[in-house]
Amino acid sequence: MASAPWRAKHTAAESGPDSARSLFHNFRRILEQNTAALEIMADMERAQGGEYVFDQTFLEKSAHELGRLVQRTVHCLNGLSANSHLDLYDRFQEVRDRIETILSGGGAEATGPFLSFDRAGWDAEALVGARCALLAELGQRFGLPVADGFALTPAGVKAFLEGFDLDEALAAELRRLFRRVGRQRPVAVFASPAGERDPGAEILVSEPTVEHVRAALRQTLDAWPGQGEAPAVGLRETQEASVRGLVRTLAPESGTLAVAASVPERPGEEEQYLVRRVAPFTPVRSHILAKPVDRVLPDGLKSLGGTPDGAYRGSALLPPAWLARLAGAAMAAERILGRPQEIAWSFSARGRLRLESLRPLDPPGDRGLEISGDPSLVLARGGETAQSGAAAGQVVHVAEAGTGEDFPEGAVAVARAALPRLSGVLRRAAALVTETGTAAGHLATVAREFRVPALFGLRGALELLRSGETVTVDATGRTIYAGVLEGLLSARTPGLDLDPSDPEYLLLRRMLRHILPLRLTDPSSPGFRADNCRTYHDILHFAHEQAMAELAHIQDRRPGLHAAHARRLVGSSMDIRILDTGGGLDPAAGSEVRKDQVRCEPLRAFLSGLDAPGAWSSEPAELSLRDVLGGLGQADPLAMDPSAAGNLAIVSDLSLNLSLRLGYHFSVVDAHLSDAPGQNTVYFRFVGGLAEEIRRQRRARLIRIILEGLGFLVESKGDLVFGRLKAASREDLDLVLERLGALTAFSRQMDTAMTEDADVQRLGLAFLQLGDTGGGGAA
Amino acid sequence: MNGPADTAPRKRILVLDDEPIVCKRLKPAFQKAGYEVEAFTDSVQAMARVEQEHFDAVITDLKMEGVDGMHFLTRVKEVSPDTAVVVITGFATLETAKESFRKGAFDFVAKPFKLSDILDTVRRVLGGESRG
Repeated sequence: MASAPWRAKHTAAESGPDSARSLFHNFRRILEQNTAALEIMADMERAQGGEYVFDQTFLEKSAHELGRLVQRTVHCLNGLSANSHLDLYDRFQEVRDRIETILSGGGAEATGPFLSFDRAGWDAEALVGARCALLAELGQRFGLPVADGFALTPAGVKAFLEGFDLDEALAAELRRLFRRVGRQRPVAVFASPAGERDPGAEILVSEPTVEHVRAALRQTLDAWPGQGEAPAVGLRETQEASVRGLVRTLAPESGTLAVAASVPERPGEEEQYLVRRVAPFTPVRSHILAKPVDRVLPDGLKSLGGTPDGAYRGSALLPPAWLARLAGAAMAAERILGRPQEIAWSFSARGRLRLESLRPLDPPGDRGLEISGDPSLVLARGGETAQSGAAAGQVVHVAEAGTGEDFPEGAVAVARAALPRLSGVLRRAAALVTETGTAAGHLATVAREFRVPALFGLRGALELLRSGETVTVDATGRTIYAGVLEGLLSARTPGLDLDPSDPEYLLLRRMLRHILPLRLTDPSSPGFRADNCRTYHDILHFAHEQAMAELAHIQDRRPGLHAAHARRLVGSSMDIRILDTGGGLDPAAGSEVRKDQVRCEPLRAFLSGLDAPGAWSSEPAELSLRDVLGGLGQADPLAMDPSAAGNLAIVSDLSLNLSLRLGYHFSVVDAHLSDAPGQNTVYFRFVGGLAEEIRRQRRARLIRIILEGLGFLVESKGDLVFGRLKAASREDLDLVLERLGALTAFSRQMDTAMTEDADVQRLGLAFLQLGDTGGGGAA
Repeated sequence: MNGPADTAPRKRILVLDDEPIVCKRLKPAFQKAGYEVEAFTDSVQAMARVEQEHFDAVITDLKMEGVDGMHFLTRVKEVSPDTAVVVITGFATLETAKESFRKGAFDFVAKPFKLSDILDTVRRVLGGESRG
């Protein structure tokens, strides 16, 4: 190990073009490795989808190559940041060790006798069995209304069978479960063997005391057939059902969901509903039994009772809203699990839905390979398939700032950019279409994780797909149709080739638990730290964000960069000095550089917007004494520091790091372009100027509106606004950079143009519309 | 039906891959498409079958435990020159692809591959109905 201090301070020798070149080089490497890693991850995910044929060799090769790329990414990030992220090596090592253990046939870590569903998931299948793992995964990871519970692990089963006293641990686990589900509830105990083996019947424990539960565990293990190893045993909450039944997500005879429902006191009297597989999940046929008018129905009303909208309730056991919720949850389960399911469910009298057990159904029969919709119904074509499949629903435009928490279940989400914060939308959407973004981006991986059909980079999608319109998104065929195309949806039903019991599938699935999930999605949250990286995806995303932030600050952190080597740009409306790290300037350029000698593509784009005719007002900015007094002591110290004054562009042919100190505003543009959209990034940071508080707030809001309109993911803190735009095409980013140039010119004058709050929105939209001829409208 | 016409004798396919999962996946898929399929994880047994029986197509992995798929390909073409050979491999390089073609392979498919892709490849080589 080297004895040099890890966090070496930047020295004068690191201030020249070599240092800047090395930073760019490391950053470029991070982008390339990120893209390569995401492509391998996408291949592994596709293999999990079942239509691919793969083998153990593929898994080993993918895991090793992925590990190499992630390790090099961590290395480059540390090279870029003077070893500020050494702890990321430890996280990498941990994840890699877990994956290696799984590949070598291990992975069922030693554990206590019980494991609760909130700590289990597919990667704990060896400990909790398939059925518990499934319930845990759907409930905890995907947020479906699934019964909570815990498992008696193989270690627990062994101890139990050998007569060890587990009562205390059992009592504690029951208490924790009842705390999670709100109160003590009856429970059901069941065997939870590995793989697809039939777990057998459940034992209901109405009074869940330790004694009764212990007896049920014993009974379950005694009833387990054969000489083989005893399975894990699961225990799940049950609820006092007012109505319960089974739902099949795909009834082959009707091509719909088929729901059977009965009330506990009359199990023989069953009602049936065939429900469309598309939101809003309307019933197409139902078989409802006649009932006495005074019978109280599962939701506590009588058939002639009034509903909030003034109608009679009717005599169906399941009111329409319950039926739709059940259908939505069942379809989400089918989508996540990759094949149609038969699901046992129940509603409490208060409308609490619980999916209690799931069983895969045989996939639909031969549906032919040639799939096409009616060409006259085509609304849009193109884009890139981020997750295959087809789904239909009503179009909902997602606001750039939206996170998806309130997104309507089963709707088709249409957004401008494939931003990581749309992950929440993917929990609820039937399909996702974006105007920019690629299948290599983070959101694409999340779409695959959730198996939501997703089409990215479909230009003009917001305009072509009107809000409220019902459409069918065929992500596989990269086409969107008007209306609901039942034939197409049926042909794209998942599950044709999936055989989840194959050892390779189980292995892949377990490995992917440590590779794919992205938990660190929000760089502004306090939890966005290296020690919270749990998967390769977390590490890659964290490294990418940190590298972008590092570059955005290099000129603050290495203020000597421009001193010796920079050349002066002439002929622009701003005085900019340029430090070329390679290929950014015409070799013939001297100490003064004309605009036509700039070879750096992002700088050229920026300058064309900055110096566009009409971009500058000749009027001096109007500052009042109040502005000056209000701004003193609050403005960014760099903006006020005379030694830091001046505008510096560090360039190469396709990279730009530009710091501008424009009057009292200070902004940074960091852009890296290539022909691989997955590697393209633009970062923009704007920090306060000298003005009174209210104007600074307006300005921050205005910049936010404009950046969001340009497709940036934006955050603001006080009058610091920063936006990131990733995974867009080179042409798109050229346009964006041009607009940032125009924004820079515009921003000098905007304080005085905004005398009241209403001006903010008006000015923001006006600015965006100026550029709409090239760039499209805002969401 | 996607495979050959029902009246014609069924085309015969041999699959060789030392990873059982590949055989397990390919065999039913080709059977469903109307072909007669034999699948092997052992190259000695597979070679013995090729020497006994005529197969219209052979699908073989290139890199298997203890076996050289390229050698298997060469032997198949010696014994039965009109048998079409499709090579599947997880170690696709331009060089191995070129060598496979030089030794008479009809096509070269990199793992992982889609079932529909390999079905299409075999339909092309055996002249079955194209699609649908």
